[in-house]
This record gives sequence, structure tokens and C-alpha cells, in this order.
Amino acid sequence: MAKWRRKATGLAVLVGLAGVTTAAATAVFIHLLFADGWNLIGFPLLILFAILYFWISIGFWTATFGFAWSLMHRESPSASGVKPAQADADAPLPPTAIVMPIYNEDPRRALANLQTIRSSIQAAGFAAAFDIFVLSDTRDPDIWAEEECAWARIRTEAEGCRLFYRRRSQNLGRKSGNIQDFCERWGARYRYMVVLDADSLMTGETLVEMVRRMENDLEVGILQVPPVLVNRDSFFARLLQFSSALYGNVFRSGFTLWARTEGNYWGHNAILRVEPFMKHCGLPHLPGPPPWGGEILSHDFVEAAMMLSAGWKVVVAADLGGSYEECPANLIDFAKRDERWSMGNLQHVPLAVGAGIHPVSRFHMGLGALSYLASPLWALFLLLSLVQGIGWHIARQSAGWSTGHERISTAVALTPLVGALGLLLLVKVWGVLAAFWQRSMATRFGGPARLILSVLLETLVSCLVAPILMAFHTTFVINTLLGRKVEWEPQPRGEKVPTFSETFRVHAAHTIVGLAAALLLTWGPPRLFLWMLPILLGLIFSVPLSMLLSSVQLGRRLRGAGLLLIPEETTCPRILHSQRHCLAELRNDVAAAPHPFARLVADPLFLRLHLALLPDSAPQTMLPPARERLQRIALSGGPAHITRSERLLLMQDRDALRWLHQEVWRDWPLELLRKATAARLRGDILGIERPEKEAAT
Amino acid sequence: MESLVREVDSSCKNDAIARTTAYLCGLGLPADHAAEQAIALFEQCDSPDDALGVDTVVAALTRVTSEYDAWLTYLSRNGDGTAVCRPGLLAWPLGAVLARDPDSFLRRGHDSELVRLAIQAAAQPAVPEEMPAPMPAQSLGGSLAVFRRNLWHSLAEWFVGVQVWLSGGRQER
Repeated sequence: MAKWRRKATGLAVLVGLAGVTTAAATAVFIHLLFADGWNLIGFPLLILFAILYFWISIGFWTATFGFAWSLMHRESPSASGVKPAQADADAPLPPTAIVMPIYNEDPRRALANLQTIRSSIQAAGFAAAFDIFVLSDTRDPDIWAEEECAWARIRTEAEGCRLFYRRRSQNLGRKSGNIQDFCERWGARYRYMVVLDADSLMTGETLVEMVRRMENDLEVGILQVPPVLVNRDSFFARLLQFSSALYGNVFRSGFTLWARTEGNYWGHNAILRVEPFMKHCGLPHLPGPPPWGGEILSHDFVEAAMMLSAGWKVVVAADLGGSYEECPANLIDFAKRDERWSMGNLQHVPLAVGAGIHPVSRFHMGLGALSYLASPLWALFLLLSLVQGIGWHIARQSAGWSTGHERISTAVALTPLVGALGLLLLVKVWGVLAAFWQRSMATRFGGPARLILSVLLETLVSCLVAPILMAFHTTFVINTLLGRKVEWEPQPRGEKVPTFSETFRVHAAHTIVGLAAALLLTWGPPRLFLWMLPILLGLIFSVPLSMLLSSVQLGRRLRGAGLLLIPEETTCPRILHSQRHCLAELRNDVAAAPHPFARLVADPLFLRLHLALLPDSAPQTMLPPARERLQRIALSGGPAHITRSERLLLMQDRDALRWLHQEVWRDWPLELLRKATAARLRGDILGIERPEKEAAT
Repeated sequence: MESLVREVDSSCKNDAIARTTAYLCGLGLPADHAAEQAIALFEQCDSPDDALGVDTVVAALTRVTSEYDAWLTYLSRNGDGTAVCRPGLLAWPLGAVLARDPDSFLRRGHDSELVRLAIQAAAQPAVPEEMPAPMPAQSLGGSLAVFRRNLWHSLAEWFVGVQVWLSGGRQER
């Protein structure tokens, strides 16, 4: 095993270039800022400018590395320092577990993805090497019931990898605790573990290649395959998919080039070597109350840091495709996800300065925290710039200064903005040029003309959305610093369109801030107002903009017009076709189903399945009088008459369920009972054709 | 066969037969076979023919479930009594088998190929056998790291304290 103190040369080059860029820009800014002599407000402006410019420079140079690589190579770089897999297609693979931790997710979508992956592995010819685990932490009883149903449906499908289902009775430690539970109970059976999210999709070929690379380089602890965003139709999601596909390539390539074997782990679509993971990556409980103490929220960065510190390689395989995920469908869901992530990343700050952490991991954690801290810093910078600019303007008007001072005050406020904008736009230019350089790639984005139009549209919307995100992130950071905890609810996976009232409630403060800033700017020079207009427009019109972005109809129209297309839409991979087909089948089967709890207590096969899945040591959590009361309510009024937590208790009580089952068949309307049993998901079993519908249905 | 189903439905005044038929359909049997089995079972129950007796329903369903569960247990074990699979896991794939091969319902010995395949499918457990191994929590640095973490925690606490002070103590820490 190599020692952990590797020379982070790639990082040194990146930081050096970013430092030089920042130093040059800062020198120009100093000249402008203090042209009239020293002023107090200039010092904080200067510090903020340097931090923010460095932050943008890191992204710029990362993309530049990737762009330079794309000019010289057709494929994205594999992590240098990692031996490529041997071309031995028939060599057997070691046992590998594919785990999908889920928590109150849409079970049909999650299980459809797993079934698609299972079929893909089967087609690749390595079904025997992979075991798939559904690791459920679901607390919602109705979703729990549907998970079991969907699992049983898929489990009896045609041959493939073994598919297991485990639900924890207590979700200690959230997702990381879920995975730890798996490792402690079954980890020793497997050499590798692939971690997926509920919306993850990976091809069999990619999974096999990941295992081969791990086998070929025994020093790799984690191998991350960057996922591509797919499967969304809303305007906002299509913008995310497009920008990720077009600019993400140069970023991923650049990241791989400088990070080399000290990369990062994003918590899903990655393969881990189980033994060192279990030995070195057990997460501690941090001292103090949440959000700074308690459970480690964003566990992935920390686990990567622990792996690196123990001397293992953590690599990002930017050259591997066949890895997909979905993104939030609207700005509000995106912000909710960012609220959780901001808390998780800020929690890393004390860890990043702690002893024993690999220097590159400190940098990763610092970048992660800065991606959210940058927003309040930008907001403060803008505010101070405006105050200074307006102050000078008023002073000029009252003291009769020359117009040279006005030009300088405007230049001071605008120079950093223009400089930063320039770097950000150059990154987009790199992405477009890289697509044009590889001619077939431009075609896969809809053709050269549509690609340019899409870039212009995406840039325009990004300019308007950026100040809204800045406002969101500023709020999140302040809340975290004030110790306000955020509940880690599951990410919404569907394309639900927010209502006007919800949108207004979320964005009202942004509108007020925008109007207040506009009012303040009327006191300043007109040029300043014009330059700040994109920021003001984004904030003032945040409500209609957010509504527009969440529109699925508009997204589909744009797709029909050939705009914001991604390569996976012009040439749809087989696995995405399969996933849509599988999902449609699962959804059709339960289209007319009654309440999941009603199905559970009525369907004799479903009930037996559920009882078989309950742990043998399932505790009887209710006292007999409470159990009897709930049973009678459930029987007479149906599931809607008992609360979710009560249904959850009943579902864990074998005796109560058996009693309910007998009683519903005695008392419920026959039609309801027939509907409940007919709603059981049909399934092919071992190649048998589907049975005809029974007359009772 | 369809005429038999109509006969059951049209002439059935006793809810027990209809419910038993529906229950057997729920186990996977086609409607006509389910109706035959329900009538046979009902006739074995000791009750008036046209009485809508709740006890009759319970008696018939209890008989169905006990025989079915016994059959599941039989199928889930080898001849020497060792368990091949959990009976509860076998029920689901058997449902599809009974739709194709209803004659195998409650049959012992000379299991059909479909039944054997269902047993084989159910033999895969819900979770594999455990191999317990520890995953100890790591320490993220030494005393210096703890000090720095406490420093950040103190800063955060200070922010919270300021907020509490500004709110006049109305907010909770």
C-alpha cells in the first residue's frame, strides 16, 4: 500500500495558476480601489474580491485543463496513476454487492431502475457475480408496503442477479448508517460494493468495467463514475441537463487531470473496496449539537478523505459512460436540496482543519464549503460596492467632483463583476468549442445552430437565476451559522410543478430585496444601475421566473424545437429505453390499486410475503388494548381512519395483521376485496407467459 | 366452466361461497377452479345452506387458510423436513403457478415442473446469511482537531447566543 503523503502536483499546479490569476486581478482592483487614496471600505472589498476571484479561477482553470485535453484526445482522461483494466473479457469477477439505500422514495421508480440494471448485467453475462440489495429505511407505511410489492414483482422476473430486500426498523445514522448496517451484516461476503441512489442507473458494461479496474489496481479504494443527468422534461431540469452535458465534460476531464488519484466520492454511482472501507471509513459522531455536531450529514466527502488518509487511491473515471441520475425538476426543489447540502458541506469546515486529513481532501472539503459560502460573500461584496459607488456619486454631486471620480467609482463596482463574468463565460466557450472540435458531438446536441441557440438561452437564464441562488445560499449559510437544523427529507424525484402560492411564499423575500436594491441604486450613477439590471431583474421577477422554469410543457416544447438537447436524447441509450419500459409496466400494474395498507391486509399472498419479510425478532410495539382499538378502527373505517404512525405500528405486529386479515374477509365489501387481490403486480415467472386476468377482476 | 361461475354467482345467496371463491382467486386460482373449490369446501362446513352466517364465512376461510398454509409448509420442506424456503416467500410465485396449473392446488407429491420452479425461486431468501464484521467509528484527528472543532462549535454557539440576546430571550437556543 502506498504511503498517503502523495505529491499533489496536479493540485499545486491548479492552485498556482488560480493564485496567479487572482493576484493579477487583485492588483488591477487595488489600483482602481485606492486611486483616490486609502478608504476603509476598500479593505473588506479587497479581501472579498480576492477570495471570490480565487474561487472562480479554480473552476476556470479546471475547465481549461479539460478543454486542453479535449483538443488533444477524443476520450476523457482516465485517472493517471491507475492501471487500465486488462482486456480479459471472460475472466470471472469477484463477488460484488450493488446497494441502493432508499428512504421514503417512489418504490416503483427505484425498483424499475434496479430491474433495468439487473437486466443489463444479465445481458453482459455476469449476473452470477453481482448481488443487488434494496436497503430500505422507509418510515412511511404505505411506501413500505409498495416497496415489498414492487420487490416481489421484480424478484420473480426472469433470471438475473439475486435481488435482496432489507428494511431497518430504526434508521440510525441515515444513509451512512444504512450502509454501515449492510457492511456489518454482509460486507464480509463481498470484495466490492457499488452504491446507488434511488434515481441512479448504470449499465452492466460499466459495472463490469468498474470491477475490472478495481481488480487491476489493488490500491484503488473508491472509483467514482460521474453520472449524466437524464430523464427530465421541465424547463429548469432541461437547463441543468444541458449545462451538465455540455460544460460538465470539460469540468470532469479537468478534475480528473488535477486530482489524479486523490479524487472525491459523491455518494453514489461509485464502487468501493469493502475491506478498507469498513476498516477506515466508519463515521464518528461529532461532539456538540446539530448542525455542527451529531451525525455527519454529507458523508461522502468524509469517507473519501478517510480512504485517502489511509493510503488508498480515490479516483474519478471521467472516461467511463453508462452512469446516469436525475436532477431536481424546479428551482424550489433544487434549493431544498442545496439547503441540505449546504449544511453538510459547512459541517466539513472544522473537519477540514483537523489533523490527519489528506491535504487534497482538505481542499475538496474547502471547495465544497466555499461553493455555498461564496454566495453570502458575493452578496456582501455587491452591497459594499454599491454603498461605495453610491456614496461617491452623492459626494460628487454635493462636492462637485470631476467626472473622473464617477468613472472610477463605477469601474470599482463593475470591474470585478466583468472580470468574474469573463471567466465564467470562458468556461461556457470551452464547452462549446470542445463540442465543435469533436464534430459528432455538436450534432448530438441538436446541430451547431441549435447548440449555439441553446447556449445563449442557457446563459441568459443562468444570469437571471444566479442572484436567486445567491439569495437562497446566503439564507442557508446564515441559518447554519445560527444553528438552525434542517430536516433531511428525501429529495423529490418526480416532476411536480409547485403551486403559485408555494412559489410566492418561497420567493417573496427575493422580490423585496430586488426592489429595495433597485430603489437604492436610483441614488447612484445611471451606468451602475444598468450594469446591475440582470441581478435586479432576476430577484424582482423571481416568482414568475420560478414558475416558468418549472413548466414541463415548455420544456417539452423546447425539446420538440431541438433546443437544450443532450446526446442521450438524440441517441437514446438502450438502458434508458429499458428503464422507461420497466417503469411504465410497474406503474400500470398498480394504476387502479386501492390503498396500499388495504391491499396488504386483504391480499392473502401479499400478507404472507410481508409477514415472511418481518424480522423474526420484530418487537410487539403496542399494548393489547391499543392494538385492539386500532384494529377495530382500521376494520370499520379503513386505512384512512388511522394515522401513518398507527399503520406503521400495525404493520410490525404479526398478530394484529393476521386478525385484520381474517376480519376484512369477513366484513369488507366483496368488490373491494377483489380489487385488492387483483392489484397484485403480475409477473413473469421463470419464462411463463402472463396469466389471463381472472374473472373476479 | 364460465357457466359454472355464473351458476355460483347467480345462485349464491350465501356470502360465504362468494367470499371463499374470491379468496381462492386471491391465492391465484382461476375463477372457475376457485368456484369449484369454494363449493366443495362450503359443503364440508357444518352450516345451513342459505344462511348468511358470519361464522360460516369464518369457518370456510379458516379451513382454506389452514389447508393452504399447511400445503405451503409441505412444499417449503424437503422430504427429510429441512427447510428449502420460507413458506411466506413461496406464496407469491405460487400464485402465478396456480393460474397456469390450478390442478396442483393443495396437491402433495408428484409436484409439477412449475411448482418446482416456484420453490426454486422462493428458495432465494429475502436476505443472505449474515457474516458479521465490525465497522468501527474512526477518530477524525487528534486533540488538536477536537480543539478546533470545539472552537467552531463555540463560534456557532456565540452566533446563537447573539440571536437569543437580540430576541430578548424569546427564542430557544
